[in-house]
Parts: sequence; structure tokens; C-alpha cells
Amino acid sequence: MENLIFGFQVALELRNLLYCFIGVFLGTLVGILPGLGPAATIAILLPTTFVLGPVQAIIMLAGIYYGAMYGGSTTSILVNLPGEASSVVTCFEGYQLAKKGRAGAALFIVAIGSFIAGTFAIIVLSILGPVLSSLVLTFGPGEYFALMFLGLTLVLYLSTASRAKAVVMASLGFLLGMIGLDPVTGVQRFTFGKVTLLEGLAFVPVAMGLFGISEVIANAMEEKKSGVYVERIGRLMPSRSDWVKARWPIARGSLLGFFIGLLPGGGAVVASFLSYALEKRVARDPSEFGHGSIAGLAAPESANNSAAIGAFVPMLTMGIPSNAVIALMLAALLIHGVTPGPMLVDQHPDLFWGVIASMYIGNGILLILNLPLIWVFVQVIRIPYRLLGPLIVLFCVVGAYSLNNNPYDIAIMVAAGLAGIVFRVYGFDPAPLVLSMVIAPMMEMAFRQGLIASRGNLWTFFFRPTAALIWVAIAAVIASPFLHMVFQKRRQ
Amino acid sequence: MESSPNKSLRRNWLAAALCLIGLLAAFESIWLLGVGGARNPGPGFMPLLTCVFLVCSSGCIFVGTRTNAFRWNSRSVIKGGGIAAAILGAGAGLEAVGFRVATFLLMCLLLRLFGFRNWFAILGLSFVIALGTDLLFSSVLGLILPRSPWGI
Repeated sequence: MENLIFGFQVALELRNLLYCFIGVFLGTLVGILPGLGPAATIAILLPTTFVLGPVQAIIMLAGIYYGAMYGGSTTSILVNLPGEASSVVTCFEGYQLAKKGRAGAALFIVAIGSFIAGTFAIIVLSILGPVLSSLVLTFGPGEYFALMFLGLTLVLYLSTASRAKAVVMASLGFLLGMIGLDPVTGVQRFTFGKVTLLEGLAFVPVAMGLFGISEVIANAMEEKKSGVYVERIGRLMPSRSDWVKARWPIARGSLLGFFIGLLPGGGAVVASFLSYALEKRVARDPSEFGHGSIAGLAAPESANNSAAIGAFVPMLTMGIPSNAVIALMLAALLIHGVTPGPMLVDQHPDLFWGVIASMYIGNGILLILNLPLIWVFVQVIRIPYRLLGPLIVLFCVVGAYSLNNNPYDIAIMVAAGLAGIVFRVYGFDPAPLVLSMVIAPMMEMAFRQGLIASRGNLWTFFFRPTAALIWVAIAAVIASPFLHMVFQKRRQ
Repeated sequence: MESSPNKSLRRNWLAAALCLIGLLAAFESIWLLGVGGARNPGPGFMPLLTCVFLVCSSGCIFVGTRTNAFRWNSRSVIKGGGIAAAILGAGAGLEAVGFRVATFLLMCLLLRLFGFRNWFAILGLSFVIALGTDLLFSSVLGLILPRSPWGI
């Protein structure tokens, strides 16, 4: 408690407070702007933090990250275009609610859910951080492989299309994720000799193409006069029944999100997808999913906020970045001469506790920023689509280009956009493709590390207690449709 | 719900294309990359496993129902192709003519394709958007965007 009070003393210094505000404000803005995710923004702003102290730098960069989690949902709900990758799932239900004229209620629930999840995660981070990180430390390649396999298995349940189509999409995504240099031998795979493909196919342009460009082109081809936007926002305050439907999904999303956020490679994207899958499985009426389910909206949004905070645990306590954004923050710390790891708490208590305390403050600022400003964001949908469509394309073009300052990424985005249209026409859901594309390199690495370490013994993936537990869960997920069929037949 | 023979034929083409991608990738995995063994899996090991999934699933699908949301005609296909070509053109010319000029030209094309009819409005809006986004991305967000050789 003393440490936390000390952290608040640091975070409430005027300079730190200012950078916390700048961070969360920029984060919200970045989350709203399609194609400009937190990773790109933090990469862009990293040089500007060199003039700051390490505490201010990390407070601001962290604010951008968790602020983007709030803002990302706005465009997902209003224009069916995820502001950043972890908001992809929000499109599934949020946009459906918006089409029903309930965008206001959806935005309100997301803001409150995000606040609750964020606050919960910060409390857990400040109390149980070291304990949880020591638990994650016991994970080996076997556990990681099993966990990611579980993620992929669950993603098949995400798909609104048939499971066979989801398997096709997941396989295709997996194949795309393996383009580039082999992580062990360095051999080029599926690069066709192109230098630009050596580091792999960039994930962001593919996601922007599949979700953004394909949506815009499809809408233009259908000649929608008012575009994809809702006719009516509806009232902002959700109904009592909405709150009842949202409360447990928010709680489950917060818990699951924090746990996933702890895992290297997990992060907000996986948390949001898994949380959605979980809600779909536990729902009394799963047919609501895909048609504007409150539970399907509240849970992933809570999960991604919780995961964004949880992702700080491995970095602050072990020096391990759990995703690209955290890796950039780790780089910023190293530039400032601070080495994150177990000694950080003792050597730089102002940074460790200051950043944690700033998250409490930032989360509060975000709630204030997002709820009153919902009306400002809502104005976006009043812009005619013939104007907004080209603007979305322009943001995507700039977003894709700014990743590597390479026009080649724009071509990838357009190709993914055209592929996305074909997938839409034939009822293929692109979500499994995107998720498996992210998971593929990590899963392959864990698989091959495990095999090399165990000298080719496949049992290494099954016989450790945690891994075994995860495989039981995988078996349960795979068996559940068959068991469901058996039970239904027995009932009949 | 189910569609005409033409649509079925197109679905079969899509499934066949996905199958072919899987087969080609499997070929590269086995003969060019090397699958390796269980003790030391090669670079083609995981891609091959993935290809097996891809080929099997796409081979047995032959895609169920086509969504009815899309009602296209040749005009809308030309429009969609035009938008894609405009983005590609802007991407290709971005570094040659600079961000402002490329954005201006891209917006002229897109606004026209998205339904603006008045050329004065198109030119005016494109000019404002090109300058406004340049200000936002370059000055406010600090992105390094390409400039044309003549300094615009």
C-alpha cells in the first residue's frame, strides 16, 4: 500500500499527469482512426520520448496503448471498421446493434465495461503481479503450444460461417503467417525471392484490407446511398436488461483478459477473440451472436482492456515483452538506460509504481473522455458515405504506408481487400484467417523449440501438468458438438 | 437459398483455387524446404501440416451458400475495380509525386467513384483533404510522408 501511495505521488506530479492525459487522449484518437493502431503510433512517437524522462515516456506510451483499447471500439460499432486489431470482434456485435439504432447504448456499455475491466486489471496488477508472473514463468514450449492450439480450436467457434470454412480460413492464415525466414534454420519460405517478404507478410495491411478496404469497396459496389452507417443512434443509456446481460460477460472478460494478457504472445487481440468464443459457448441463446448480442460486445471489449494492462506484468517483472506494443515500450526503457526485469521494482520504484498509479488515473480520464465525447464521435456517422468512404480509404493507405514507409504494404492491403470481397461473397469469415496469421509464427516456434529440447519426444507437449490440463480443455472443445448431438438425441 | 449452376461453378472454382494453393505450398514444403524428422523438424514441417488441413477442408467444402447481400452488375464491378486500381496507383505513385499530389489525385478519383457528380466540389474537397491530412499526419502526428521532387 505504501508503494502504491508513493506511485500516486509520482503519477500526480503535474508533468506526469500531463503526459498521462496526452497519452490517453492520443490513444483514444488512434483507436478511433482506422489503420493507425497503437503499435504504429508508439513507433512513430518513440523518438519524441527521448527528450522526456523514462517515467514520463512510459506513462505516455502506456496511455496510448490502453487508450487505444477504448477508442478502437468506436469505429467498430459505428462504421464496422476496427480502429485496431483487438476491436475486430467488437464489429461482430457492435455494428449489428448500431444497425438496429442502438449505437449509443453499445458505446456506453463498451466504455463502462472497459473502465471496470481496466480498473480490475490494474488492481490485480498492483497486488498480485509478482505472484502471477512467477506462475507464467513455469510455462515451457509445451504449455505455449497447447495454449495456442486451444486458441485456434476456439476460433473455429467464432466463425459465423460453417466450421469447414473456418478451417479453410485458419489454414490459409496459418500459411500466410509462415511466409518469411524460418525461425530456426533461416531458410526462406514462400518468399519467391522477394526481399520485402523476408520478414514475413505484414499483419496490419492484411487485416486492414480484409476488414477495411473490402468493406468500403463492397459498399461502393452495392451503391449504398447512406453507406454502412446506422440511420439512428438511439439513446445513450442502456436499458436495465442490457446491464443484466452485460454484467457477467464483463466480469468473465476482465478475468480472462488479464490472464491472457499475462502470457507472452497473448495480448489484447487473442483475449478479445477468446472472450467472444467463451461467451458464445456459455450463452443461453447462442443464436443472438452475430445479430447484436450485448454479451458478445461487452466481454471482448472488457477482455482487451484487461489484457492490455495484464501485458505489462511480464515486461515490468520479467523484462519479457508480450506483444509488439510492449516490445516498443521495452525498447523505450532500454534507450533511457532502464533495464526492465525483477530488479526494476528495487532499482526504479518511481517508474514501476508511478506507471501503475498512472494507469488508475488514466483509466478515470478515459471514462470522462469517452462518455461525454461519444456525442462527438457519433457525428462521424452523419458524414455522407460518399465522403467518408474515400476518407477511410485514405486513412488505410496512410496507415499501411507508415508501417514501413513502403508502398508495397499498400499493395498487400489492396490484395487482401479484394480477397476479402471474394470471401464475403462465398460466406467465408476472415476472422480465423487473421487470428491464425498472428498465432502461426509463435505456435511454430513453441512446437519446434519443444521438439528440439525434448529430442523429438512428442510427449513433451502433453505430460506437463498445465499442458495436460489445456489438452483436456481442447479435447472438451472438440468433443462438445458431438456430445451436444448425443445429448440432444437422448432427450428426443 | 441455393444458387444457380453458374454460381455453383464459381464456388467450385474458388474451392479448387484454395486447394491448388495448398497443393503448391505442400510441394514447396516437401521438395524445396524439407520436412525434416520428428527429432529435428525442418522448415517445411509446419507448412506441410497446414497444407494438409487446407487441401482437405477446401477439397471437401465446395462452398455452401452464397450470401445474398451482394447484387452486382458490370457497372458495380467496374466501380470496385476502379477503387482498387486507384489505391494501387496512389501507392505506386506516392513516392514519385509526393503525398499531397498523390492524395489529391486519389481523392479526385475516389470521390467521383463514390458518387460525387460536381467536379468543382470534387476538386475543392480533394484539395482540402490533401492539405488537411498532410497537416494531421505530418505536423500533428509527425509521420514522415514523401514529398514530390518539385517540393510539394
